[in-house]
Amino acid sequence: MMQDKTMTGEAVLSAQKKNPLISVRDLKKSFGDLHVLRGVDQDITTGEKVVLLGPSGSGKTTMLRCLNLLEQPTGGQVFFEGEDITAPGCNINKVRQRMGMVFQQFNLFPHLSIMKNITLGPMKLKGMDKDEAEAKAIELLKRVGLQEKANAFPRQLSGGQQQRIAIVRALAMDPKVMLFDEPTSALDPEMVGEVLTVMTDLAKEGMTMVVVTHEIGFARSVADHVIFMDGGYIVEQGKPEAVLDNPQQPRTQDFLRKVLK
Amino acid sequence: MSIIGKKRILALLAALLLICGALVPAIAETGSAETDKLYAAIDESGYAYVTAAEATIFYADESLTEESRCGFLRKKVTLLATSYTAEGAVQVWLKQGGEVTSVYIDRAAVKNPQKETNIVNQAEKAGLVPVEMEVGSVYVHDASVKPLVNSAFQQWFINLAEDFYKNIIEYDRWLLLLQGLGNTMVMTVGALMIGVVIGIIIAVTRSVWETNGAKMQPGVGKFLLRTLDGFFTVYTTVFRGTPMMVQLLLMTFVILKGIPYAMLVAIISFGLNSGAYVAEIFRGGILSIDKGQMEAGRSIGLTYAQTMWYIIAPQVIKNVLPTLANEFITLIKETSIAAYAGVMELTMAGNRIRGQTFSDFMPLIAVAVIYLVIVMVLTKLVGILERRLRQSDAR
Repeated sequence: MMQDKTMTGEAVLSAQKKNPLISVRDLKKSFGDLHVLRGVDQDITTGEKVVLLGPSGSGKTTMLRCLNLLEQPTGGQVFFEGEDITAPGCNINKVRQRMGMVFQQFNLFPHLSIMKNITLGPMKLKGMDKDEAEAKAIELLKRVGLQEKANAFPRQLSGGQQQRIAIVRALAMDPKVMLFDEPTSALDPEMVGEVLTVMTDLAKEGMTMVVVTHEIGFARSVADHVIFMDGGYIVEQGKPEAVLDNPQQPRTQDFLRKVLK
Repeated sequence: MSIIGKKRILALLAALLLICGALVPAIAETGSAETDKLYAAIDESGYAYVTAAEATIFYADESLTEESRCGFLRKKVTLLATSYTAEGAVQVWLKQGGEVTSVYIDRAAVKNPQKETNIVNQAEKAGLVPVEMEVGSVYVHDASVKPLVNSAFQQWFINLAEDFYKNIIEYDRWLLLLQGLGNTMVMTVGALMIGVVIGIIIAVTRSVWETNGAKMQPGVGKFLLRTLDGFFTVYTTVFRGTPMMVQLLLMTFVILKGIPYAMLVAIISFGLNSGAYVAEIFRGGILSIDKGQMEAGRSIGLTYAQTMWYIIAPQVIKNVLPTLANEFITLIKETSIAAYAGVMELTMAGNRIRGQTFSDFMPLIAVAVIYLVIVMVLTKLVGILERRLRQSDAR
C-alpha cells in the first residue's frame, strides 16, 4: 500500500514480470471427488490489478483463497515474494500478514469496536503500541470517510460501511497485496458504489489487487488483467478490453452475455 | 402491560392483604364482645361444662387435691373461647381480673355425655368455632398469647407462627438451615468451577477435531486429538446418560470411598457431571460462531490460538454466559441429593429439623422457600445479564 509512485506504466509492469509478487504453478484443489481447481498457472506482479471472473462453481473464489492458504491446495505450488508458501516449513501466519483479504460477508469482529477491529492485527502481530496503531487507524478511516465511526460497533454500520472498514482492517497491516472475495456481492445495490470507489482509489494508489467480482464495470475500469475461469481452469485471460469486449472463447461469450444482460 | 403497571398492582395487593390482616382480629374482637358471655364451669362432682352468660363458675385450680375440690374457689371469669385438643381435652380461654388465662378440661373426665354435648352446644351457640389441635402440640399458658381463637384462619395463623417458632427459631434451628445453605452454595460453586474447566477442555478439543480433524496431516497430533475426542465423547455420553443420583452413590461408596470427606466427593461428582453438560454448552457456543470469524482472524496473520483467544473466545463466552448461569441454577437444586452421600446441605438440614421436632410441614416448606428465593433471585440476575449482553450487541 501507499507506494512511492503509481505503477501503472507498461515499462514498470514488464520489468516486474520477471519477478512476480505471486506465482501460481499447477494449482489444484479438490474437495473429495469434486475437483474445483484442475491446474492453474498464473503470475501476478507488484502493482497489478487482476480481476477473476467466472460463473459460480468455476473455482475463482477457491483460487483466491488458495493464494493465502485459507484453502490448502491439494496440488501445485504458490509462491509469494519468491517463497514457496505451500512448502511444509513455511510460516503461513507470517506470510498472511503481508496479504490483506476482504470477504464477501465482511467478517468484522462483532464484539470489538471499529477501532479495535482495525488495531488488533497491528498491535498483536506488528508490535505497534496503542497510540501508533490508533493514529494509523484514524488516518485510514479518514481515507474511507468513516473516521467518526471509530468507536462504533460493526452491527451499527450499514453493509457498505462495514465492508469499507473491512478493507481498512486489511490495509492496517500494510499488505503487499489485497485479495477481494466478491466484496460487493452481499451489499444492497445502493451501497456497492461506495465500496467500489474505495477499491478504485486503492488501485490508483498502486496497490496490488486480486479481485473476484461480478462487477464488469469495475473490471473494465480498474483491471490490468482479466481472467475468466470455468470448470477449474483459466479459460481466457488478457487485457480487460480484449476479454470483456472481444472474448474469443464461447464460454466467456456466454457468461458475459448473461452477466451484461 | 408495562412493568410499572404490574408493580402497582402488586403493591395494591400487598396493601390489601395487610389491611385484611389487620382487620381480621379487629372484626373477631368486636364479634366476640357480643357473644363471649359464656362461662366455663366445673361442678362439685368434678364434671366440667360451659354454661350460659352471667353464671358463676368454679375456677379449676390444678393444685387442689381430690379432697379439697369441694372447696373450689369461686371466681367470676369471662369465657373468651374454647378449643379442643386432639387428646379430647377442652381448652377454655378465660379472662379473669383483666388477665387472660386458660384451663384444660379433660373430656375423659366428663362422665355425663349430656354435659359434654352441652359444652359444645353452648360454645357453638355463642358463635365460637371449635378448632382441632395438632397431636403433641404444647400450648403455652401465657397471658401474652392472645387467646382470641374466633376464626379458623386465626387459629391456622397462630399454629403456623407456633410451628415457625418451634422449627426455625427455637434452639437456633435456623443456624442449621444456614449451615446447610452454605454447604449447598459451596458445593454448587465448586462443582460449577470443575464443570467449566472440564467443559472448556472437552468443548475446545472436540470442536477443533470437528472442524480441523479431517484436514490434519496423519501423525502423533492427529492420533492424540482423535483419541481425546473419542474419550470425551464417551465421557459426555456416560455422564449425561446415567442419573446423577447413581453417579453420586457410585462415587461415594465405590470409586472414591477412600476419601473421607463427603462434601469433597460430592463436589467432584457434581463437577464431573456438570462438566459433561457445560461441554455441550461451550461446544454449541463455539460452533455457533460464524466460520468467517476464524478466517478473518487467520487472514490478518493471527495464529489459530490467537484467533481463538482474541476473536472466538470472547464471542463464545458472551453467547454462553446466560446458559451457564442457568446451569448454575439447575445445579443448586440438583445438589439436594448430596444428602444421600451424607453431606449436611440445605435439604438435609431441613430433614434434620424434621427429626428433632416431628413436624414435616414447616421444615420442608422452609427449605423449599429458601431454594425458591435463591433460584428466583438468580433467575432475575440472569435476565438482567442477558439484557445487558443484548444491549451491547445492539450498541
